[in-house]
Amino acid sequence: MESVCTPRETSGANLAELERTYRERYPDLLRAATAISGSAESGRDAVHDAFVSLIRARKTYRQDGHLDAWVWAAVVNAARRETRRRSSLPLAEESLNGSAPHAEDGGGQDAVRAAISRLPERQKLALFLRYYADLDYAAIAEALGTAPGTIAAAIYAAHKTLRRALQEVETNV
Amino acid sequence: MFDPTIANVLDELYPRAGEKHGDWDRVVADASSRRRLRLFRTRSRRGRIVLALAVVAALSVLTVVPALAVSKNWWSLRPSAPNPTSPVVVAINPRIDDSWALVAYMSSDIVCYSLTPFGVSNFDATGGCGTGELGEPNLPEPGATYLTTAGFAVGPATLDVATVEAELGDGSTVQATITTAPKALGAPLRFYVAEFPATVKLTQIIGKDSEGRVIGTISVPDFSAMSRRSTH
Repeated sequence: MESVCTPRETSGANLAELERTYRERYPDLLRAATAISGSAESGRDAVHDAFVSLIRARKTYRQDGHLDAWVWAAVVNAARRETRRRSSLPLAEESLNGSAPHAEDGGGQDAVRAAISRLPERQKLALFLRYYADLDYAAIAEALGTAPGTIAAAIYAAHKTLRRALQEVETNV
Repeated sequence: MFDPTIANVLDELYPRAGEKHGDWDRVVADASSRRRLRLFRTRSRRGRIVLALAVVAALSVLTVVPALAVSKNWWSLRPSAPNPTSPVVVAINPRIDDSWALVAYMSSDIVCYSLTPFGVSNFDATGGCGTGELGEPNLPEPGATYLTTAGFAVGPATLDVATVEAELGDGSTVQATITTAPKALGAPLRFYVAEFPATVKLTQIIGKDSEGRVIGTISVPDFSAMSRRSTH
């Protein structure tokens, strides 16, 4: 019975690399996908669907590229698809642990949440990949298909907007 | 550029998940569910024949099982029952001397499944529908939760079930093969297949979680003793 297998191809270095990436980075992948798609459930689906696509397309992977960037690009795209599929806005009510926004924070978190949701998409994606996935600018640029300088500018602009939102919250408190 | 204040704000918005692991087996199963079609083009001639036999065998069972079901008046195939999802291949044992295919589909919230031999395997196919899974609390009637044929026990289990053991009448225990159903099935399930000597009786099916805790048992009635009693 040891030879029983699901109907799949089990050989191939890329499959092993993908599995390792999935297992090692799953919490970060889920967190970023949740932030982009706006719900834990959508985030989970996005990571799942991304890896299904990656396994199916693994023979097209170019060895000269970075596997991490390829994976992150797929997860970001899947999460964006989930966002479009959902009728509600990204960064809506549900957080990763399923709780509603905290009432005791005086609406500060809501204000920041609203500020993030208003960021241009590129800034938002760059911000999430920087903070939730801990990627550097080069890796973010590769995942989003743009230049590192563009990412640096996007994150700078996002920081500026968020700092302003935080200051406003502090002023109102 | 990394701003600690913004990092804290983002941490509060989306805290690190408690989930440390995804379900890689399910990812692979879903990725391969479409790949099956490609195998006919890419495999060797022998491989294509084996796969074709598997599909034919599976389709045969899916024809025979509904016919049986209709004759036994299974509710899931009555005109009022919802249409089932497409059958999906859950697992294939490719061993040439012991080859079988496990096929399943959903009919409403009832899971139907069959174990079919192909190639030179020579055991009776078995198939049916059930309303419960190993690992589920308060399992309904045990007979509806598994199938058995000479030397095999097969059935669905919840995702919590990590290992399944089959206890036999001679006191021995057999470890079952367990596999996660592809997403295409439409239900988050695993399936176990226990193979044991056809001459030995199956007495109990035990499901355990990843920590080794027993989370479900099915006691298998001694059908031969029951039939002996009924003839006396």
